[in-house]
Amino acid sequence: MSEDSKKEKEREKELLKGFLSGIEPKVRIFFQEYGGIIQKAVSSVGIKDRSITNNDLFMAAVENLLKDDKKSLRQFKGKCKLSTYIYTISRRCAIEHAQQRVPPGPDPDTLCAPDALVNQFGVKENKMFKIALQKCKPWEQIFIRMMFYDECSTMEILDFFGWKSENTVYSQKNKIIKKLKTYTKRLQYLQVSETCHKEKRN
Amino acid sequence: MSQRKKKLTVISAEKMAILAEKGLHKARLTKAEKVALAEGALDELYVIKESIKTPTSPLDRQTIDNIMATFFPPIGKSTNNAFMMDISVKMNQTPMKVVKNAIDWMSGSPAFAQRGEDPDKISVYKEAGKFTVHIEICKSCDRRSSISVILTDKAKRKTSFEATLFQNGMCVESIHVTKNSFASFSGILPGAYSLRVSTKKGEILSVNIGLEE
Repeated sequence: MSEDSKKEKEREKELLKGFLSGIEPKVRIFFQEYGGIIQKAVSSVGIKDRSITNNDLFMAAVENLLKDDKKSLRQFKGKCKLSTYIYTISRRCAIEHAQQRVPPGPDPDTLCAPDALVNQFGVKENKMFKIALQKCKPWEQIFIRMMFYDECSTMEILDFFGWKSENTVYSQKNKIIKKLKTYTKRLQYLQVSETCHKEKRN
Repeated sequence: MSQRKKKLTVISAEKMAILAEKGLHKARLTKAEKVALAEGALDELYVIKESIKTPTSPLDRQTIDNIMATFFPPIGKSTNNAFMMDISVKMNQTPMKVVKNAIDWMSGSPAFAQRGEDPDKISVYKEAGKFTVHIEICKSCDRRSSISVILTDKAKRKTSFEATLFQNGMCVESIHVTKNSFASFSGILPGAYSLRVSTKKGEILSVNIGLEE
C-alpha cells in the first residue's frame, strides 16, 4: 500500500470515528466530507413519482446512516474506500425509498441470444439461450452479460476479472461461446427427443 | 408439484464497493452472489464504477445546517438545563424599542435588555451556568438587522460554541465558533426567531427573539 493511500485510510478512520462518536462538530466535518457523495448517490436514482424530490431522498439516505445507532457505518470493515461504501448504501436506500411509492414493474423474463451472437446460433437454439446461459458457471454468465449485453470494453472486462492480457479475454470469450453452443444443441436435442417420446406414448 | 421459490441473494454493500473499486477477483463472492451479479446487479455496479470516476462537489453549508438541525437538534440534548427567555424588539423605531423584556423561564439570574449609547442597538446579558451570554441586536439598513452572540466563561476566557438561529423550527443559519467568543447573524428580516447557544456539553441558552417592524 502506498504512503498516500495509508494516509487516506487513516483520515477515513478518523472521520468515521468522529461520526460514530456523535460529537456535533465531528459529525459536521463528516457531512462536509461525505455529504456530497450522498447527494450524488441520491441523484443517480431516476425518480418517476413527482411527489418525491431529491431532497426527500437525501434526507432519507442521511436518516438511514443514523438509524439503529449508525449500524450501517458500524458494519463497515474498511476493505474499500469509505466514500464508495457510503455511495452504495445511500443509493440503495434512495432506491428503496422511491420504490415504496412506486413499485417496480414486472421484470421482463425474456433473454434471447444477444444481437452479436444471433448469427452464430440457429433460430431454434436461440430460444434455448437463456437456459443454456444459466447452465454456465456464474463468472461465465457475468462475462457474457458484460461483453454482449452491456457492451463493456475489453479493458473494462480485463480489469474487472483481474486478468493480465487482452488475449485472455478473447480466448475466454471463444471458450464460453463454444460451451453455449454445445449446451443449446444438447438442449435442443433433449427437447426433440422428449417430444418424440411423448408422441410414441400417445 | 410445488415449485420452491428461488431465494434472492443480495450482494452486501461493502462487497459491491470492492467489486466497483478492485474487480471480481478481489471481492471474494460466493457462487450465489456471482449468480445474483449476473442476473441483475451488474447495472448497480456500473453506476457505482461511474461515480468513482467523477468528482464530487461538497455539500453547501445550508444543507449541512439543515441536517444538523433535523437530526441533531440542540434542544433535544439538554432542554432541562438550558435557560430560556423571550425578547421582542420594535425595529423601525429610533431609538429601537424593547416591546417585551427578557423573561426567565427557568430559575437563574434575570436578564434585562439594556441600551447603550447607540440608539439602534439593544443588548441582553444573561448568566447561564458558568457562562455569560451577551446578545446584541442591531438595526441595519433595508428592514434588516443583525444578531450577535458573545459568549465568555467566568474567567473571561474564549470558548468554543455553536449558535443556531431557527425560524418556524427550521434552521436559518448555524455558526460554529472555535476558541473565540463572537458569532454574528446578519441580514435578518423582521419575524420570530429562536436562537440557541450550545457548547460541547449541551445547550446552555435558548432565546425567542421577535423582531417587529
